[in-house]
Amino acid sequence: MFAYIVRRLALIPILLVGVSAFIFGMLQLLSPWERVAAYVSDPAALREGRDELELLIKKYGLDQPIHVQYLEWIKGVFQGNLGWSEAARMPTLQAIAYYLPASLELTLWAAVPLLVIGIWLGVMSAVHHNRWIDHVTRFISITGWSFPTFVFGLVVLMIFYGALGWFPPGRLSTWASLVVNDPGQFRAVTGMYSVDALLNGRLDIWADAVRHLVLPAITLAYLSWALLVRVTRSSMLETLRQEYVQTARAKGLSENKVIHRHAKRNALIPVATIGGMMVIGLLNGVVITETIFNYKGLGYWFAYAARQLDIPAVLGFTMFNGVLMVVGNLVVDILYAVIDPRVRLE
Amino acid sequence: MGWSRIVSVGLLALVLGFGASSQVKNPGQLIVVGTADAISLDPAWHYDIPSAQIIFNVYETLVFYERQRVDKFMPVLAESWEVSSDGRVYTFTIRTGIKFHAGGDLTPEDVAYSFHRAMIQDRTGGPGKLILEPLLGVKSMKALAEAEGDVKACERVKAAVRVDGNKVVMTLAGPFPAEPFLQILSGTWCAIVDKEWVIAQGGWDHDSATWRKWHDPKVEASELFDKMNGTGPFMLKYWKKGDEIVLERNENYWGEKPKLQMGVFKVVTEWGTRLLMLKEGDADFIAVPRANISAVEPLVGAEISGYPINKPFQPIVRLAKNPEGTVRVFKDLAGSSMDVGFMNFELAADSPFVPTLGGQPKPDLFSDLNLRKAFSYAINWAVYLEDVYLGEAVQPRGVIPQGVLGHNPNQPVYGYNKAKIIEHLKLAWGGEVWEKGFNLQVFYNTGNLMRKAACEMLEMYIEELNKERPGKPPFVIDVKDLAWATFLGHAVAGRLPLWFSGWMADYIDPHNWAHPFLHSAGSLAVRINITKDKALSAQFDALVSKGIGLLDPKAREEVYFQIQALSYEYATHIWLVHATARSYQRMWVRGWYHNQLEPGANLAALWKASLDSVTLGARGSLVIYGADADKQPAKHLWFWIENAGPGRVKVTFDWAGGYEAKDLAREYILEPGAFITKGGPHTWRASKVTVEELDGKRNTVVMYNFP
Amino acid sequence: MKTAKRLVSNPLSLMGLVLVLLFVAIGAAAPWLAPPWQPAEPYRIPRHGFRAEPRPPNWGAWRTFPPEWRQRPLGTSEGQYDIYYGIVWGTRTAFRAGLVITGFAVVIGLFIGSLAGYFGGWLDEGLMRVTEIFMAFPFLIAAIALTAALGRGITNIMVALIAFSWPGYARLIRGDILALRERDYVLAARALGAPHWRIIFRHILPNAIFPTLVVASMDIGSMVLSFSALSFLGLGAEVGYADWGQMISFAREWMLGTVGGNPLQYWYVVVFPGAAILFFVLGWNLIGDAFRDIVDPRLRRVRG
Repeated sequence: MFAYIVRRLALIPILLVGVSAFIFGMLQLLSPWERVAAYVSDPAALREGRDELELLIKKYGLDQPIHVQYLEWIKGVFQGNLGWSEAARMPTLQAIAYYLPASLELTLWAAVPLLVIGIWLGVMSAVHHNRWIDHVTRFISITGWSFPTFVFGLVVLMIFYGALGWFPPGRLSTWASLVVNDPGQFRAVTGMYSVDALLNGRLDIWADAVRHLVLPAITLAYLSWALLVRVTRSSMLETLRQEYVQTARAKGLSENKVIHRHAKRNALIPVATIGGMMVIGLLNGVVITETIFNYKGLGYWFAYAARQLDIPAVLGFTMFNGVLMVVGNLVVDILYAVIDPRVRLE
Repeated sequence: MGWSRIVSVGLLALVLGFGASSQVKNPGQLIVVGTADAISLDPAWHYDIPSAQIIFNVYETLVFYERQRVDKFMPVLAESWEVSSDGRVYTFTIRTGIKFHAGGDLTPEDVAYSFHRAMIQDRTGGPGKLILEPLLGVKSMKALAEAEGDVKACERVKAAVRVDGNKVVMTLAGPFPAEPFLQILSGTWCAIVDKEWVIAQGGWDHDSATWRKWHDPKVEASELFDKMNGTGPFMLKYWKKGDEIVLERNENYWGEKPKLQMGVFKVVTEWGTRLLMLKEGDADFIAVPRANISAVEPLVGAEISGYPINKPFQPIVRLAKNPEGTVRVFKDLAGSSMDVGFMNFELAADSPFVPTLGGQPKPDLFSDLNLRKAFSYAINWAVYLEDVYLGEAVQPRGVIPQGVLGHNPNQPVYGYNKAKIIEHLKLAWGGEVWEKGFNLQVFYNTGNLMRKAACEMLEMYIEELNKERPGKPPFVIDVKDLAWATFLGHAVAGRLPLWFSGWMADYIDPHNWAHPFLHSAGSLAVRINITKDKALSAQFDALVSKGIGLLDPKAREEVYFQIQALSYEYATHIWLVHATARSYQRMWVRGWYHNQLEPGANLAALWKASLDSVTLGARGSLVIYGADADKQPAKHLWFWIENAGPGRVKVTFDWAGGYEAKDLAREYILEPGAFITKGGPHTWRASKVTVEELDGKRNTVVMYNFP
Repeated sequence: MKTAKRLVSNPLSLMGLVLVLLFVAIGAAAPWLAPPWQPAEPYRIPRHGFRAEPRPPNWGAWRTFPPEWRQRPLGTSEGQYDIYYGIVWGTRTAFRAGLVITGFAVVIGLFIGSLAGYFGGWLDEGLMRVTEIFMAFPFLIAAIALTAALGRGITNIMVALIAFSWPGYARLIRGDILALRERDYVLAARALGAPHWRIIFRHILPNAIFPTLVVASMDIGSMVLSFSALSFLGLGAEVGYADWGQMISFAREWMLGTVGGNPLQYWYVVVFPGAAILFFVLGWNLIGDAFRDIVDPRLRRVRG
């Protein structure tokens, strides 16, 4: 197992070099004239036009051959310097740390109901196979799988904010953000407002933070939820057909006991894998969700950076996610091996 | 000086019993919600509005505008100043006893250092050239250093701004009009920093030999990127990047203590959220995209237009809709940018976008006057301004926009005229255009939908003529977009045949417009290769040079009139649009004024007060309604007269109409920020209101009444 | 044949089939449903003026069929772009995106996968490491990153999505080829001295390709989803191109209606293009789902 872990972790540097080289190579298709846009907020500020643009291209080294630029960047990466993110107005690494708590908070708020409700519905659907609950669940989950996040998000925003005014976008109301950012009044521990508010004993702030989290969390969960229900359902169905379950039934155990004692535990092994992957996958989904709800986290920053051609940010965030995926997968694999003794990692 | 101005508000009906008053939310805080975050808080580095509006409230300059006036200056960190008779030497006496926020004393050395630092930093695309041009006659520090060597160049910078006792002396490199120079000095890029403190932060040590190290830094490399230490009425509390910047009052401010305790500048990119914040009172000012103004309409209780440009004292009269509205909007505020269609007289040889005439490449297509005229007639300004700018923009009368010396309101302009388009197309290139057709690409920068609409309009009006000339090869216009940097790259290299783009003035002087657009060395004129028409170009060169050389405004104006007439006659550009601005604010905001050269809310001048907390007389609830005597007045009526300061004014009601309001006095003295307002069902009418200023200060008085 | 029968007999997959065929019909009949105003550029959505504020549908236009787009049958979006026209021509964009992306990804995947699977050894090792790298990144994030580097535009979005979707197919085909490589008829062909390309094309691919095609058909829906998501984020074509994702991004500023007025005033701006994407993707997913059950219940999706 140890060798397996080492091998997986050894993949990380290869991965970073591989994909960053690929994206850097693709960058060459954009002329320096296009890339320089990242460094100028307003073209009207360039009064002399050509000369100034050329100076800027030089200043940011955009005219250097691509391998020189790349070596420069990768050298920085190994020194822990991912470059300056113009979109965040801070170094990329710092920006990741700055925006991570927000996204993590959102992901947690999405993941918990996602797992609980998703698994419950999946089990129910399998147990009541081909009954109404099964049909409804299947239909909803397949629709959910086809529902574009951005349409879903906009529609719930239109209804629950525009029409009803219940759940505003953003992360906090103005009054709350003034409190939260004042070290005299509020001690930031995790950067996750719904947690910090409790630690500070500020229920009003907690309520405000949660009010802002509801819609994006639902939107974020919705897509993955559909998949989770499907996987749980089919895994459960398969288990219920297994011999030992049938035996348990034959022994005269109550149906309830059969399901919860015997079938569910085994059925949940593949679900655990998918579930773990899904929580990582949620970070993927924050890009669109955060953009729609103006929720300033990693995804919001990344989408903005991509539009602004903020290459260090785009690369940095992609690398960060690559590492996260590898480590996340590894953790899931290990857990899997722990849960299911039949699996051995090699 | 006791002069007065009679304002005819029409017949004013007095109405009683207006009861609605709303509690002010966050009374000590002013919350400004915009769409973009500051980029750098370094005065020398920044060159964008979101950064400038922070710097503007934290740092101070030597001189500054008298409220909305861009032509009158008051001393700030300079106690006084003198100008030599030839206009080349400015001597500023520096105020004493002023402390920076971090505790340092303001000295003349700090002032000189601030200017030197701004000049040697001169980052590419930054504001440095604004200072370098008048003081050293160069466009960049690089250019100066190349010509004279590093040390010598820095010595020249130091000689241009030097300390003399408690004075700072600035020597200009050549003739430069006084007003624009003082406007440059009032800009945030000329903010005064604390020399010792800046050096302690890792800034330039003021050594002529070492300045290169601090020259043209990247944004994060400038030592003041996210730190501030000014002398101004507000200090930086924190900058939560991408989210908000909070300023708090400087309790030790040397000048008049501001009424607000805090200024909050928030970034909210989502329009809907900004709107709701304004509605809920969580925002006092919001940025409203022109396209979305209809969505704010239900909130607007007061709509004010006709804000004066450079008028010393002028009440502003308005009409409005929703008496319960909580938002006030100022419309038609002077802006300082213009969008223009550029027709390239001859494309650069390496252009990939060469138009064709009858299938043959024709790089000099637009050197033909008739073709330029035909295109000038192919913009329908009535539709364009109404649809794209919702009526809040004007068609420029030429290169000099409204509010600038040399603007000629009587200059004829082009307008949509199908017969004229046909006439000129038939004449263009000796009839070749009409017979053989052309193929042309017109450009705008990606995302600029307003310019896109102009391109599409040209396309529509010209391509529809193909119907009138059956059997002939068609006129083909392709509308193309380019990402702006590429767009600018091609434009400056003279590779685009026809494109729409803009220009914005940093200071208000006709030379800042005429030279770039029409002088053969102008940065915009070279893009259209105007020298292709040598005779025309020579005329412009002579006139532009004459214009900057004259001192007498009247004579200058005449020259700029001539320039614009010539530009019209030769249809050199399509002068597309000079947009005006709006300001949306909660009604409880007091003391606001508009100065087109100021970057945003001046926190020191503003405060918040509810309708009944700053009033006059018994609860001050007086509201006037302007209704025709014969018409039935509507139910909810009110009027508003507000003194936006800085001095006191006297308001006199003249009941010449024969009706008298029993609970309304004939005369009121309004302190700055005070107002008279009254609302409810109608009872009385009045006919005239006179406003007189008492303290000899130049006041702004806002008046409105509405059904 | 049997497959087709089962597709039709299951109500869900039948619904999917009907939906997809409906969109095929709309796409094919686009010039008749919404005759282009600029025949040379049919994908440019016509505008009804230049105002920003959307205008509601004119239901009267539906009295004739097809409705005349000049009468705003589904209203106009931000900037007066015609919604009806955009949806009709956007159907073609969606098909193009879905088919081109999966098509290219499958071809590249087939190529790489068969090389790796057939030849094995260091080639296999090397190629599989490359696919692993590409698969290690969250799909959408990697695609956004690449689109940003390539520059915005529809073609670039497609390139980016292809770049990060081929590895799944490569893996799949490699696995199947590994299984086939040692089969008797392949060994026989090899013994007879047939050239490699002939063995691959004649003997191996025809037998190995089917599962890949099934997976690919299931992916079309999610590819269109990713495509419109990128377009929604503002990485797609310039404003005014007939593309559903972009049409939904028009809706963002109008979601709140008018304050104090009707909050759902501009519902049509999001509902019509949103429904178009939803039903399009739903159609493909229903078919794909049924396909999976029919062809191989053990097939797992390539990507999560």
